Amino acid sequence: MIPVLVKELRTRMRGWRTPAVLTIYLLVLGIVCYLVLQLNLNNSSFNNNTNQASRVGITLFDGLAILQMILIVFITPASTAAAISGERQRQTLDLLLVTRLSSLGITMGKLIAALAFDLLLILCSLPIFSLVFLFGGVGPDQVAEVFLLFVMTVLLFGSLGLLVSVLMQKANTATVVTYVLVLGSTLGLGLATVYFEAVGMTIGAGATPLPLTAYFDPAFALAAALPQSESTVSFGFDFQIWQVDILASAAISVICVALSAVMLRQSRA
Amino acid sequence: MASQVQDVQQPGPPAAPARPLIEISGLVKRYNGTPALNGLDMRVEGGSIYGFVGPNGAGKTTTMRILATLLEADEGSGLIAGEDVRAHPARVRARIGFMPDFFGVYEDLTATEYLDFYAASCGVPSKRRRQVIEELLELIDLSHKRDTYVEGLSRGMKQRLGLARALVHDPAVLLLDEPASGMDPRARYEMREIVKELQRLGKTVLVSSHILLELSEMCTHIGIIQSGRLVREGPVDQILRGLDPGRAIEVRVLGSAMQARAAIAALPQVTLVDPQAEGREAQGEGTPATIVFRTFADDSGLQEVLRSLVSAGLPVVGFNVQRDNLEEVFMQITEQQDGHS
Repeated sequence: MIPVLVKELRTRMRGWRTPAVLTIYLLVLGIVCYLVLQLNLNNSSFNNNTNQASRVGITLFDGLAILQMILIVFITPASTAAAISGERQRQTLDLLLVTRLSSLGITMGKLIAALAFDLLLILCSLPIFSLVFLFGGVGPDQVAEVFLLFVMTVLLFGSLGLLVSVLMQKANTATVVTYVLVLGSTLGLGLATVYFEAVGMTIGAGATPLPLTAYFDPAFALAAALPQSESTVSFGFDFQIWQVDILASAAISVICVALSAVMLRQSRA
Repeated sequence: MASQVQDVQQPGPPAAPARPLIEISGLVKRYNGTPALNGLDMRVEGGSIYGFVGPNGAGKTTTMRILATLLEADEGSGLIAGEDVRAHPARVRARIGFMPDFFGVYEDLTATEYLDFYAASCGVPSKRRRQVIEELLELIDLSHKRDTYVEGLSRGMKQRLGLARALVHDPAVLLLDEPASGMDPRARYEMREIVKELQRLGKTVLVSSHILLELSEMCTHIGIIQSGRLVREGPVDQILRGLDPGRAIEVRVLGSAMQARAAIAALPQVTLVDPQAEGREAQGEGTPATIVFRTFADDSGLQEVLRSLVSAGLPVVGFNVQRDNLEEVFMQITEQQDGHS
């Protein structure tokens, strides 16, 4: 795994692409942060008014969190969808398969390198998110929860992209299929959740029982994890909905990585 | 490279018969029911350069990929250095260096980084890697390009770098699938010289090509594959002799070609008269007819042939030894085999 990881990190971090993506990413977050603040600061006179300030803090946090999730949806699939399919298309996969690297080592090396870049983007967004602490209304634990959700979503989409890249012959096809699956798991599952809830097909007990689809939808989990939208569900124990989503993401990711390794092993005799 | 090949150069006890480094028995591979390999049997002795030659689609690449543990045979077995490719693929991978017919490179790595990546992937300890890479770059004459990005190398250089990649873990056996394809004559020559050098360093090389002459210049042994079966195998001289139906002699005579052909065919030194000569009658008076025949006679024997023809009253106006064209003979042989199969 280590040689693949080192090589991937070396080539990914080299050149103009990584700093360019990082700069654009932070610029987008920064601009949205600025616009949200401008809008709220112009319409509010919250000097010495804690409630007003915390409301601005919550609005800012919500805006940044939703934007970051959208950016993750668009950036993460591209980082792993070409991992193996790109090697195959470039005619370098056979050369990897005749080395001593295990199939799991190759897939893990590819995944970690891709996720390292995505996690770097998330990490670099922390200073912008920390602006919300100036206004209050959002605690460090809530920020940590949302960031944990980001990390698990990146892992989920990254693993999904990896599996598709093992199955597809061409990198472009793998990228398109991964985007379809990722959008399906956000928009599609969201629509399914709304439908199943309307017809009363929910599972679990507690304050807010939800359809099964809700627990696999990172967008829904984010909505549930944002401040002032606390919601719990009980499967014997009480869970926050985002906690169930994180467990589901972890399970799906493990399955995807294991399947990727197995499928890649079949490329060998 | 000296340190790399030390293990290979240490032979076993002198009394023990040398075991082939590559042994293939009854290998069968079908793609959607269509046989690509049809009971292939082959043995490659240690320290040899074995030229695996055959027309496109004969099964060369399939064989190479099975030996490289990238493809599973339907039937039969393949052993490399005594290890079964199916039962112990990881052990086989440690013993082979494989260069596919088409392979890509990581353009965004330097030549040194490229080799370092594969050396690490093949389990070469980090302490030894620098030395191994330096030796390999020297072997392939790319020391001066060690810090050049792979994308800046010529096709021939990339091909040589690919060969060095296959050598990073000091394998006993090299599997080179069409290593010279798409290369210019100079690059082909350089590749050939490197392969010869590798043999001197104790490596066993299985190299495939669809061009017999290309292989005959560097190989110690040749195996000819046709329709998934080995049709000829042996030391290169023996194979070339076997292919050689004798020297081709072109005779030009005035008058009737039919009559001349009959006179030539009657001579004991003549093994074959080109049947096409019947159609090459003289075009008008004074224009000679051309007859081609084959003979194993040496130069004094040829003199006898010429004297016999003149004594028989044939108006001989030309008598030339044609240049051998092994490729043509090879094509005839593989076409015949194709027809029989």
